[in-house]
Amino acid sequence: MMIEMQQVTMQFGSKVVLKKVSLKVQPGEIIGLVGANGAGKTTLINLILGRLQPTSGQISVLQAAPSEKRHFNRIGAMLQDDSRIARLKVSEELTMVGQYYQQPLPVATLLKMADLTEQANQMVNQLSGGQLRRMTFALAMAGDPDLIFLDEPTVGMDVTSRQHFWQQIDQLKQAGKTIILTSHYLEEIEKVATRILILKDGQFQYDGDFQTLQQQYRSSQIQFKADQSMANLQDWPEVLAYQEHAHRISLQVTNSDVVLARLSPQIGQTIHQVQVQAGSLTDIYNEIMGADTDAIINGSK
Amino acid sequence: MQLLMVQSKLDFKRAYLRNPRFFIFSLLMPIVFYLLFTKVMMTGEMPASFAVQYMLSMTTYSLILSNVFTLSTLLADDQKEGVLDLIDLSPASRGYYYGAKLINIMLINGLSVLVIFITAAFSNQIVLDWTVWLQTAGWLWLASAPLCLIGLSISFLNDSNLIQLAANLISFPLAILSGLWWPISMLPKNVQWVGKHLPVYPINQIGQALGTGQSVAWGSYGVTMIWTLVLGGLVVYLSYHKRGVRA
Repeated sequence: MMIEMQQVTMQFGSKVVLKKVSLKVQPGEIIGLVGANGAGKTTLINLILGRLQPTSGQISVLQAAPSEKRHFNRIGAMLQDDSRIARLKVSEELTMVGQYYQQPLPVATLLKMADLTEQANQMVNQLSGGQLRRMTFALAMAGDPDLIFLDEPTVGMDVTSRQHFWQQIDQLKQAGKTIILTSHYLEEIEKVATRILILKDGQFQYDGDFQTLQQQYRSSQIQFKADQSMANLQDWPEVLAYQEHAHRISLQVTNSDVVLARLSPQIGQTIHQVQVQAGSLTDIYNEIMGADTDAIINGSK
Repeated sequence: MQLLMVQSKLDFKRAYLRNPRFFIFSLLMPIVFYLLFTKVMMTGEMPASFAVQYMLSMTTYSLILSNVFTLSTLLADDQKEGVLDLIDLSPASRGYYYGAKLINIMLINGLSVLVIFITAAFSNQIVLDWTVWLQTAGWLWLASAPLCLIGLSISFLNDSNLIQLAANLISFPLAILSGLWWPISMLPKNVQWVGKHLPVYPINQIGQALGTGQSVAWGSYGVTMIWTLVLGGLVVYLSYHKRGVRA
C-alpha cells in the first residue's frame, strides 16, 4: 500500500476542510484528484506529505508516518509554489537538490524530462512562469520517486510544454509509478488517470474509474446543425449548457435519450448532422458540482 | 559530508560571489567608513593606537553587517524563494542547509577580518607583532559566532519585511551602543549600562585589549559566552517551533 488514510478530518479554526476522509492508494495507480478551489485538494496532499497534521484520523505513507524523512527518497512532490532561487543556474539547482537523494537521476535526464536542456545555464529566477513550472517538475523527479504528487502541474505552461509534460507522465505511468494529480484541466486528468476522486464539501463525492463514472452520470454532449437559433433549449431541464456558433449547436445534457426524443420531430427538417458523445469528465464534474463549478467550461449554466 | 560540501559550494556562489549586496554592505561599507574616519576626517597627527582601535571597531562592525544584516536577509530570501521547501520535501534534513550556512558565514567572517586588516595595515601603516595580528583576527573570527546566532534568530520571523526591519533595528543600535562608532563614555550613564551588557561590547573590548597590548577583562569572555549560549538556545528553540508550510 502506498497511502492509507483512515477517517481523516482537517479543520482550520472553525472551517472543516476534510470530513472523515478515507483513502487507500495501491502501487501503480494514477489518481486524478478533482474539486473546486478550496475543496481541500492541496490540504489533502499536504497531509499526506506530513506538512500538515490532521485534526483527527490516521495517515500512513509507504507504511510509515507521513513525516518519516527516509521515505522521501521514494517521494517526489510538485507543489503549486515554484521555487525561485536567485543567483543559481538551472543545472546548479538540480545538482543541489539531486544531492538530497540516495539515487538521484542525472541532471541531463532531468533537464530532458522537463524540456529545459536549453535553459541549463540560465539563472532560475530568470525563467518564465511555464519554464519555472517545468523546473519544479524536474526538481520533483530528482530522486527518481515511486510516489509522485503533482498539484496543478500545467498551470502557466504553453501548449507544446503541456504536450511534452503529459508524454512524460505517460512514461512514468508505463514505468509503474504511483501518481496523485490535481488539475483544473479536467480533459488532461480524464486521459491519464486510472482512478478519479471528486472532492466536494470535504468528502469524496466519487471514487472510482472514469468508465464507471460515465455510467453513473448520464451527462453527455449532443451536437447538431440548426437552420435557426434554438436558444430556448436552455430552458429545458435536461440541458446543462448551451453553446451556439455559426448554426452549430452544442448541448451538454443530463439525459440524451429524453432530449433526442424531444428534438426528433425537427431532425431532418430544421436540425441536421446530429452527433451524440458520452459525457466527458468536465461534463460530469459540471453536473456534480452544479453552480459551484470552477472548471473551464464555456457556456455552462 | 559530500552533500554538505555541495550545498556549501552552491550556497557560497549564490549568497556571496554572485551577490553584490554582500560586497557593498558587509565589506565595502566598513572599509569606506574606516578610510573616511582615519584618512579624511582626521586632521593633524593621528595617534597610532587610534588607527588600530578603529580598525578593530570597523572589523567588528563589518561582522555585525555580515552576520546580523546580510545573513538574516539571505535566510529570509531563501524562505521566500522556497529553498527550505525543497529540503523539507526531500530525505535531507534542514541541518545540512544550516550547516552549509554556518560554514560559509565563518569563511566570510574570516575574509572580512582579513580584508579590513590588510586595508588598515596598508592605508595607515599599522605595524603590529604577528602574534597580535593572529590573536586579534582569531578572536574576532571566533567571536562572530554569537553575531551569526543573532542573524539566525531574526530569520525565524518568517516575514521578509519584518526581518529587514529587525536587522536594521538591531545592527545599527548594536554598533552605536557598543562603542564602535564613538567611545561609549560619550553616552548617558543608563545607556552605557545597556551597551555594556550587549553581546558586541565585550567582543570589541577583548579585540581592543588584544590589539593594543592591554590586559583582557575576563568578565568580557564570560559575557560573550553567556550570550552565545542564550542565542544558541534561542536558535534551537525557534528551529523546532517555527517550522511551517509555505502558504
